[in-house]
Formats: sequence, structure tokens, C-alpha cells
Amino acid sequence: MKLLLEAGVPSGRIAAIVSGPGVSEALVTDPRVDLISFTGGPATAERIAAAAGGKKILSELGGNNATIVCADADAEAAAEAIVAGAFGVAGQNCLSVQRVYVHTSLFDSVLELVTARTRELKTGPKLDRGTDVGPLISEAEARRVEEWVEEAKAAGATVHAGGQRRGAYYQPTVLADVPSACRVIRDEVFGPVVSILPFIEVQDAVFAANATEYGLQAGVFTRSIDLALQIAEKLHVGSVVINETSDVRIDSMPFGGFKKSGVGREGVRHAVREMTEPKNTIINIAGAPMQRQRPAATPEWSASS
Amino acid sequence: MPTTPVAEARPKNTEETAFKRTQFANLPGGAFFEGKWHSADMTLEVRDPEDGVLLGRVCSSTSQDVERAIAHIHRQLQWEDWPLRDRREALEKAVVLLGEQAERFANIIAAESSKTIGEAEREVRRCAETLRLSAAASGELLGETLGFEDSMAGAGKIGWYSRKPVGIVAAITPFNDPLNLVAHKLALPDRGQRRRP
Repeated sequence: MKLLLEAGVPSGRIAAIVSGPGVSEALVTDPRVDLISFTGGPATAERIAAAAGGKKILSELGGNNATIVCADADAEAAAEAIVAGAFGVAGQNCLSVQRVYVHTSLFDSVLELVTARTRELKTGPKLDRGTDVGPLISEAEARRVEEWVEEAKAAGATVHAGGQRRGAYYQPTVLADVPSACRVIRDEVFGPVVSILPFIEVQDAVFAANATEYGLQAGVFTRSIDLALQIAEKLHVGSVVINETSDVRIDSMPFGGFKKSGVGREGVRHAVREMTEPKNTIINIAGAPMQRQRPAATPEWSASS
Repeated sequence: MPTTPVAEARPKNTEETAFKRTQFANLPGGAFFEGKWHSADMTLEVRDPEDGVLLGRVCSSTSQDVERAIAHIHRQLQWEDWPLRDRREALEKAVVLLGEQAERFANIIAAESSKTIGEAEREVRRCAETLRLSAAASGELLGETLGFEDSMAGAGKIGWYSRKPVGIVAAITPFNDPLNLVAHKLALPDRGQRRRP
């Protein structure tokens, strides 16, 4: 705010407040507000929509992002990308890698590579440049992630890396054998937990990847351009990334999802479109004073000699 | 609730804490509305999630504050214009200022959130790119002439459309990207904005 004001934004046009729960009701119900732009979770979005009535709402509500690793993928590259995408900002990233579907022929090696790389990650002080992963935003959030992992374990999941909490820190965790009803598969985990699952037929992987209320971004690893584009066509998400994971974004691209991932697109030019509407200006040229008439005499400049 | 075998708090590093706190000193902390900072009731604590250390305090605003904020912007928009070229210049200047203050912004983000210093620095660089794109986005507001000449109802008329901001935007922003995602909602060549993190 201070920076924008210093840069010359008029002080009467912007406001910023921080508040506890309940105050946003006043904000979203005010009839003078023309548009609501919300980034958060789907449950809160429902409450906002109910309170806001007919106002235009743009929303970015998160994702439960899948990565598909096909039989012809570069397993090393995939594993490296998966680890970076799963644990950045301790998984608290709407684009984070949460579910990974690996062809059975590569499953063991990808699981091993991801596990080994994950075990090398260091949690620790955020200001220490040797630290890879910081804490969750609160101890309560770390406890929630812990609960979801424990639920998966109780249902038969195996823990290949991580699985421990310390204060607000939760270790980067790799799970396998996770039943699809578990919350780490079903809901957005928003924490440093990734589940690796095998598939045999590509269409099963695509079906599983799409089997979520979310639809934000997805990654596909394959060396076949045909397979890449066929899968990309079938994934119902805002962005498909080929040979990288869901965790790719540039600020100029149209950004957003389908289904419960939200409404509308960010990305600067796209947001400008969403926050503006066309306005017509029409001019009626009534009773034109100049009428066309045949000239009375030949004009002096005629071509005849 | 399942128990964990290892749950000791990380020992507090006093030197690091002091450094983090200096980044927070002299930050407004209050709410900004009606064209000025309000610093009543700085009761909301901002703590470092890493070790629970108190970094600073901010205002906890009320519904009345929200009403006053909206009312003020609503009045301003009716009386004062802000030409597009001035908006572009402000955004271009913001890019420069952010470059000069990048280190401080990164330290603040790293202290109060989950981000490591490297992740925070990346966010600041992305925010600069978002501001740069915003400054360059004014072409998005251009429109087209209308097809009166080819319409049965169009005789004797001409016209065009351009894109106009809808009005006041209420932006509610998340904790995980406290700078860049705010820039995406706020830093558009657009009309009045309010944010509530």
C-alpha cells in the first residue's frame, strides 16, 4: 500500500484493512461494491456468493493437482519436478503437486527417486539459505496435515518419506497405497504431502486425474507428442503442462480453473478484461445539412479539352 | 488427536528475531482508508510461524471501518478522474520502488509467512513483473467501432465501444502469496479497490 501511494496512486481510490472473521460480510454485501475478487477456499466462496447476491464474483479457489507420468517419460526429470512442485512453500500453493499417477512400468523407480530426493530436503529456519522447506502457516495447519496423513495410514497408506510434525513444521511426506476416499486424495491438502499411485491404461490415469471437484492445473510427462496432446485435450483443467508439473505459471497467462477451482481468470490482461465492461458511445447524425446534388455546370477541372 | 514423538519447539534465535523485528518496525500496521492511515486498536498479532515470536501488531478493523472505506472511495470516484496515462506512470514508478525495496519486502514475507528467503525473493521478482505487465496493459481498454453502416437500424449513426472499469472492487487475498497475489488484484489500470487479507 505504502509503495503504491508513494508511486502516485491517489489515496482516495484504495483502501486496505485487516480484520477478523465476520467483517468481510460488510464488505461483500455493500451495494456500492461492484465486483468481488476472492482467492481462498470453496467453502468460504460459497458463503461470499450467498451474501453478495448478484454482484460479479471472480474467484480462485485452489486445486488438487495431478501429474501423470507415462511409460515413456524421463523418470529422473519427472521425479525432480515432482519434488519441487509438491513441497514449495510447504505445499501451500494452489498449484502444488498433490497426486501423481505413474505407469506401472516406471512406478517403482519414480517412487524411489521421489522418496530419495524428498529425504534430502531440509526443513529449518526460513532465513537460512540452506533451508528448503519452511513451516506451515500455523501449528494448527500442521496438525491438520498430520491428521490427514494419519487417516491415510490407518486406511493402509505407506509412508516412504516424512510423516512427522514438529511445532508448525511438517516434514515433506511421500505416500503410496493411498485409498481414494482419504482426504489427502479427495480434498486439497495444502501441505507438504504427495501421493504416488500406479496406473496401467492411460485413460484410467486421465479419469483418476479428473476425478476431483477441482480443475486448476495438471502436468503430463511423456516423450510422445501425440500422447501429450491427446491427454492434454482430455484433462479438464485451466492449464496442462507437458514435461513439467502443475506448478508452472507466468503472470501474463490466463490463470484459473474449471469446476470448483473458481470463476474467471487472473493474469494481468485477462483480469483487466474481467474487471471492465464494454461501454458504447453512439452519435446520431440527424438531418445532414449537405445534400448531394448534380452539379449545375461542368466543373472547370474536367478532363475534356 | 494423534500424538507425535518429537514436538519440541525450535530454540529461539535472538539475533535472527531482532533482525526480523527491525523489518517490521516503521511499518504502518494500521488500516488505510479515507485517504489516510488509521492506527487505533493495534490488537491483531503477527507472529512468525517458525517459532511463534511476535513480529508486530496490526489493526483489527470493524464493519464500520469497511463502510467508511467504501463510502470514501465511492465519493472520490464520482468527483475525481485519474487519467490512464497517470495510472501507467504510477505503475511504472511502483516497479522502480519495488526494485529499490526488494530486500526489505522479501525479509518481511519470509518472516511472517511460510516462505523461505529464496521463495520470498522469487515472489518479489514476480510482483515486479506483474506491476510491469499492469503498466503495459492499458491497450486492453481499447475497443472497436460499431457496425452501424451495415445494420438496418443503423442509418445516420456512428459509434464505438471502449472498456470501462466496473467500479469498486473488493479484493480478499490469501496468506500464501501476500505480495504478488495482491498485486494481481490491485495493480490494474482500473478503479477503486479495497483489500482485506
